[in-house]
Amino acid sequence: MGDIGYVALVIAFVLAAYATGASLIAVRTGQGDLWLSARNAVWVTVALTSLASAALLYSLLSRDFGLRYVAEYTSRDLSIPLTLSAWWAGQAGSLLFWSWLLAVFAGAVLIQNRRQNHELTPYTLSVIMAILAFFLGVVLFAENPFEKLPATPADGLGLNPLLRNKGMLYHPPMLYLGYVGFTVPYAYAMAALMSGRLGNQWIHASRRWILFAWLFLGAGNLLGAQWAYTVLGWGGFWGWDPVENASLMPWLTGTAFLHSVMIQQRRGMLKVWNLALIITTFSLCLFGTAVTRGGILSSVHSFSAGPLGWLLVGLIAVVLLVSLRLLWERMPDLRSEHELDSLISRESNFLFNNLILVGAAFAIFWGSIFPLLSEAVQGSSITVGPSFYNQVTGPIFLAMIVLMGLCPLIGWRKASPENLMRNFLIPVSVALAAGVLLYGQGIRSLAALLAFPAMAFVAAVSLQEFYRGVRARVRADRDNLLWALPRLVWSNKPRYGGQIVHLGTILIAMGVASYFMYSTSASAILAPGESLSVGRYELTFDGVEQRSTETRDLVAANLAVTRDGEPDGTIMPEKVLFRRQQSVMTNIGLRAGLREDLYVILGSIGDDGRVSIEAFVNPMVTWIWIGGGVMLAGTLIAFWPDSRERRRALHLPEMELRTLESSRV
Amino acid sequence: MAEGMTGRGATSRRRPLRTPPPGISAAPPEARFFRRRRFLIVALVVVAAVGALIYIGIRGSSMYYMTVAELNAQGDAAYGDKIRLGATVVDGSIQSKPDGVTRFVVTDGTNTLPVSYEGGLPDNFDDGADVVLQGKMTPSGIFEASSLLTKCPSKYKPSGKGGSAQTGGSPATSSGGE
Repeated sequence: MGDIGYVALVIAFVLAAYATGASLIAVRTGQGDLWLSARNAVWVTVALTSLASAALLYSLLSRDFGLRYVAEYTSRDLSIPLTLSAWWAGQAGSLLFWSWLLAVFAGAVLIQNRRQNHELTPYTLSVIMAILAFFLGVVLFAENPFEKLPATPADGLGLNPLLRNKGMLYHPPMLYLGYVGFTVPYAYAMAALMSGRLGNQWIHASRRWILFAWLFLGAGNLLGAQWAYTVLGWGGFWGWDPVENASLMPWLTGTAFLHSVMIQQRRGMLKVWNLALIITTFSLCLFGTAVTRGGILSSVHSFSAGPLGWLLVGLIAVVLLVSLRLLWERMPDLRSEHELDSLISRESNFLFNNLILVGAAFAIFWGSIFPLLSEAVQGSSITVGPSFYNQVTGPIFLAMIVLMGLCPLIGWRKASPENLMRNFLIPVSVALAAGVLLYGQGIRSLAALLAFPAMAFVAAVSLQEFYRGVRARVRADRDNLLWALPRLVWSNKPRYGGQIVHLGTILIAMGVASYFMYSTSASAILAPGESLSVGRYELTFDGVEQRSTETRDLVAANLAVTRDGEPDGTIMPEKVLFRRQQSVMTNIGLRAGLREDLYVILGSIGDDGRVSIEAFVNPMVTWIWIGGGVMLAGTLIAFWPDSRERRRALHLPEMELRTLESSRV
Repeated sequence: MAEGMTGRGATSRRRPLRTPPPGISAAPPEARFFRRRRFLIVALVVVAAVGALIYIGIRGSSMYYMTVAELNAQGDAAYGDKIRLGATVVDGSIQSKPDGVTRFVVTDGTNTLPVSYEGGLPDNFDDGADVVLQGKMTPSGIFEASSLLTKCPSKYKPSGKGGSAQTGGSPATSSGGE
């Protein structure tokens, strides 16, 4: 099977390179035959990378330990799903996964553009196939998953026990979907630059791709955070590790891009900015892959070193040089059609939100590469810890939240005072009320008194939007109250989907802020019968329980819980010993609730029967995961086909559209 | 489309229904310049604020990232500074005490350094593990770590087989500027 996979990859590599050149020549010289041939090459590449992937999966499942990759990442005791996850667990396999996704996306771009964008698509495809050729080349010449071992071992080494978690099944592939997904909007942007069709065509064509990539990048991050939260040793749900940072940065610039393209669509402004943003986002995706896979930054996720990191840095350099040169050449054609009319308008609000998002990404980037920079400049490597990121991004995210609330309240072009008055009255009152309420509860920290009212403000803005829409529908159409809300959302999916995403963001922000500001902990070494109190809980140690399964031994500390003095069941944090690997893993004891999580870690177990216990009360963490679900729902709604999009594609005059869609001014 | 509106007919009436020709706004040139400059000033303020935050943050929370050799070379000068240390745990050196303090020795291959650390241990903390420690040197020659992170290789490696030589985060490469 390994040979079949390898040969398939060789042919796929050649065809990807061919398709790159052929589609470019075809569109430059107008040769329809050549374009047809390039498209066929794409489809064959899709088939061949799928075949190679199938060959790898088959080798993994059939425990073909003659292949180095199979022997290093799987073992006979590994469950079937985790064996399949070895596709992306290791370097070589994950690069094959990258390539396969990109090939499939190339096919999807062809299907998407069967009847449209004929001038753009060959360029788009050429860019995608060039990047695909790079990755296939790396797989073939540097990281071959089908490499054979001189002798076949009886069993493989198996996956690191820490990674034997269901998180392994969805966290990495989701991030890859995000990283690879941003290749497509980037390719569209390059197509726009190369073809000189610099209007909104490339943005219309890439809108879904942007949402898609953005959604998966965000979801991948959030699921990673959840995984880290439940597996000890990774420092809570977010540790500002370089790999985490690397996946947050393109998400931030991608968020900026999602917003700034709206200004281009509505007002024909910010064209250069949009192109620069997608180039940056894609470069950051490659940077993220380089950090994750290439080990160019010191990280908790130190997967491997090797040539890959620097190959990817080389690719980033080429991408930046070529893209920025193209952008520079097209500068004269990219002038704004309008100018900013007022500081208090939706455009400038979007612009500031963009600056802040990019600023946040830049701060994180700076912190991540500071060790490299300081080493280069003054010879000693200086790192910045989590406190740097918390300190820097805290105020930035606060500003972002405030702008997020302001945005729907301020009309396009220029807002009038009475419009501001009418829109701001309720949200500002809600924010003030929230502030007073918190102060009354005895909260005196300035950060909390700023952050939570700001979140209340944004939530009030979003809910006000929904309320007004519903009220108008009930009055005008005599919709009943039950149906007005879903119909409202359905009538303008991008807009209300976006508002739902905002609500989800606020829930996440609420959880994160509460966690960082109000998490409390206590730790103690307990003999049986002794107890530890944390927050309103008291934990009494009742001894350890042991059990064994086929591959592991488990030791659990049995802790009786009382909450506010009332008995409330037990919580059992565990230590798991993987017998064959002699490797220990901790399963935390977690009682999650809407108000707070009780989170208990079993430290060491002494020979005298005493255990060390570390207990946390983490307020509102559950809302982070709920917020993630709300964001997902909102994104899916925004993703759904919408009638006004079709009208936009028909190139209705801009003014007419704006009247049709008039939000408030 | 009618149902696409939020039903606020009054608002759309209030808006002037004129499209300014592309590139030209109705205002006189100097007003346009002023508006643009006003916008630029606000943008610069935003950029400056982010820059200031980064500057203050870096000054407040930066730490030297060192290897054992570099730390030893510093001698007495290193006492009290907050330091990040990347190294490998020496086989058989880990002693966990019931009071929650763990003592172990780390190495970069040639130099060694004793470490004491109080707190919960990550699961893959073991002989030969690559660790990133945060803490400071004490005059007693023991590195007091306040945080301990282990690196997470995606494949399992049998312990005690020169783990540092084959992992990506080995101290030798760490000092190369990671």
